[in-house]
Amino acid sequence: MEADQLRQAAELEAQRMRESNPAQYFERNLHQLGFSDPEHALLQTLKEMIDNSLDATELANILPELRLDIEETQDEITLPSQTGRGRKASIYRVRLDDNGVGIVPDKVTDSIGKLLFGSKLTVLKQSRGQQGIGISAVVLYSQLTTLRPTTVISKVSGNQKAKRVVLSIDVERNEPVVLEDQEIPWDHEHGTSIELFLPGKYSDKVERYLRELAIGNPHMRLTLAKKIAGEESELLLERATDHMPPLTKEIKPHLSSIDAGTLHRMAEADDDCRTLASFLSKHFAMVSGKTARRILQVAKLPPNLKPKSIKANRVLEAARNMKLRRPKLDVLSHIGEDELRASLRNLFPDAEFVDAVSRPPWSYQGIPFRVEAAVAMGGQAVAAYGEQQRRMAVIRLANKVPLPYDLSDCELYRGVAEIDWRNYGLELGDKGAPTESVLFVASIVASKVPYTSPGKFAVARVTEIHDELTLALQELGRRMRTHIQRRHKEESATKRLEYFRAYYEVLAEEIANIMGTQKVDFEGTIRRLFGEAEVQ
Amino acid sequence: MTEKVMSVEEVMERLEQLGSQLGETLSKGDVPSVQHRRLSKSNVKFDLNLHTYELGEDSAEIRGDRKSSLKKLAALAFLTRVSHERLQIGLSTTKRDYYYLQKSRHPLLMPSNQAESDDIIRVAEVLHDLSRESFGVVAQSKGYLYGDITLREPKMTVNCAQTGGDGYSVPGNVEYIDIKSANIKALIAIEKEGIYRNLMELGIPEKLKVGIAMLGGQPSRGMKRMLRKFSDSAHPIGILTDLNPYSLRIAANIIYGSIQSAHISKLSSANAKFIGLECADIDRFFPKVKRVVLEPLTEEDLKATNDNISLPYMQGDEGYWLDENQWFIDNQKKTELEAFNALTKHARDLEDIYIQYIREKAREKLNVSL
Repeated sequence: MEADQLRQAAELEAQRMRESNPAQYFERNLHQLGFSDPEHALLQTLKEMIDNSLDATELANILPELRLDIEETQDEITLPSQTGRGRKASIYRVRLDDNGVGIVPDKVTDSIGKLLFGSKLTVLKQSRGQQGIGISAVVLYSQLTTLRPTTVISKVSGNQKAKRVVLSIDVERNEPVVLEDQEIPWDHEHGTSIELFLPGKYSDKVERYLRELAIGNPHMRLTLAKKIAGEESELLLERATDHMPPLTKEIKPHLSSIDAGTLHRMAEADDDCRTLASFLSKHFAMVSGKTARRILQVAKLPPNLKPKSIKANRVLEAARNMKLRRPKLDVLSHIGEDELRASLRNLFPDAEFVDAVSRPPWSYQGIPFRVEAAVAMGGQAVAAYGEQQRRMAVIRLANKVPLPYDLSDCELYRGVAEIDWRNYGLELGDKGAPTESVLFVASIVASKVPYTSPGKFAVARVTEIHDELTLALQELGRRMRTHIQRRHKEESATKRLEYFRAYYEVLAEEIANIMGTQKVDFEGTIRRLFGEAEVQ
Repeated sequence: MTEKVMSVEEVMERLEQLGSQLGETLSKGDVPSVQHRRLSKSNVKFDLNLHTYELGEDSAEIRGDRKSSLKKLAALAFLTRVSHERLQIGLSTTKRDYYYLQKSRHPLLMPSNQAESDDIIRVAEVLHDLSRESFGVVAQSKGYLYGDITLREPKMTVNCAQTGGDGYSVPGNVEYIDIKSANIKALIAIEKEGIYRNLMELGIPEKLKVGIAMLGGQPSRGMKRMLRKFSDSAHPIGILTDLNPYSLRIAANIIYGSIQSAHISKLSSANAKFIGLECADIDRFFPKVKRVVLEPLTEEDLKATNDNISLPYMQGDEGYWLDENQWFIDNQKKTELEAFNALTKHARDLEDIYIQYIREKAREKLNVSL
């Protein structure tokens, strides 16, 4: 092709991109975003709905009370499949009620029915949603597959009535279409309820996901009411603590965590700053006016250059050479050692040993993160959980949300698996998994979690994160070893009783032999020595 | 001071006491515990008045609430039963026998070596206040007795001059043997077999009216116990050994007892006297053959001498033992009972030499004229 043609093709493509709105983008890419199969789609739906609800409660310092209804309806649809023959799936009705602040009536429609794109491009903040695609994508999926609208009920504190909206999305225009809009009485003080239909498949993964979620969110109370294949049942996940987690803070990006392209786009989009120096100090963490001028000096750029004229690569290289200060680290909301212990106790009430370690916050590439690790050992509940795992049982949490897929690619799993747990008193079987039931929790909270892929199911290997996780696990291991050693002692106490009995047996027999009498009963002496309780 | 010899029945009763004491404790639901005088070197004292080793008053406790003690307690009951059972049918046991018995009783009683099962026997001795021979755990027999001495064994009466062979073979267990009569003025206990046999062959016991005993080096427990019986029945005992530091110890062991057997008072014979060979004998009996009979002291001999000097029982008798030891250090020499042969030109000379020596020593040391 001629140069002109190439240029024309590129311009055409750019125009098409601009015209493609978020709704269209999602429509095309749903399968990459966690809706590849019915089981995954149901889980992804639950995740997006619950993330929203938890964020809505935490913002206002409300202890979350969630009620989740999942009902397998009689209806079935056929989904496209790779073989081309299609694949049947039941349609599920999913409804989540929360006690969040609610959505002001005017905004209900837009906040659910309009996909916003790129709002988080330049702001860094630890949030669950960062991991997902948003509730609107779920609404879209529901609509595309079942052709059914979504019902939203929301009430703000102080209002008499709740707003109930039934809506769908106009994909072409990226606009919500309101089908019903009314005010209804609602017995909630405040909160939001979303109900939608989707083709799904209910499996054990749902409850497992919810339990793991409870570990990352000990302040949450969640009721699951489900009706699967006509059978109804309810599961209550009680909160383990009444303490609210600390609030997260927004931070500006750090120059060491940004790529040249993003920096360039940010500078191009900026209309406020007169000079490049003021642009850098306004938009980036740990860059004062003075530092900004020094960066530009090193980058051999005049400080009064217009932001749009930025040479992004030179600025970043200069910033790297200057070794900027670490970002502020106190912007994260971690789970907490006590909270982790409490939630593990809550979920595994008969666990023999439970402990947790929170590392202090640290940073990678200018992004604050914090690693936590916990363990539950022994007991039937832990054993039951582990039975479903082929390898080392590790619950992975990223920004307090469970990661149910891509286990072996995930740094949170590998960090646990790479430790030689034999050094900490655990016995390992043939496949390297502990011979006794042990369950690890590996958690990271970060202003931005480094995922291996856009699918966001596994944490990538980053040296700083790996090191912090290893330190947390080693400390946990030392505590486990202490416990295991204590247990060995207790076991030997049982052995001691058997040992004493055996000797007294010999003693009593020999006394009887000497005296020519019946063997004396020595259980009284054993009870005297060990106490009534221990003898039992 | 004559100790009453216990009968088998009395010993069995004493063993039963332990059984009934432990049985009562168990049936009450109490925790058994057994106390005995502590068997350790630090609890052994040399009684300067009695001139004998004695076990001190320190006590040890075998407790049924201690894991470490329980094995001992069970083993003690087992040994007591084995002894009781075997006394009934007159079956003796050696330490080695008992080692095998304990090995096979119960895996938990398994001794790690014979020293461990031997220790149980020692505890039983001190606990029951009986020598192990009393309850049938006998030592190896060693040594002979010859002379006009009549002994009453449980099954027969025997005269030590009419046994044939080398004389009456002193058994491992002499506990139930009495001296019925002894037509002797003294008993000479001799370390070595050669001179013992020569005395027999020369008819000297008959001529001097003495009994002779062959120790065969360090005497067996049976022999020591037998000597004690003579000592208890007021027969003068003279001990005749080589002239070297080890032989001094043999003599002192007979007279004063040993640390190892301090818990059994019946193994020392306080009336026994050391009659020779002593250092003064060299100039007195062997002046002309001094150079011939004296042999050089070895390194080990010298070490034994130095050890002797610090032993409690070498401190008594107004420095006699220390002087004897000092002679070895000063002269670096020693000799043996066989040296008497160096004094003879003809075989018939030996009888006179022995008679002269024994007579003079009996008079000086035992205050007995033969």
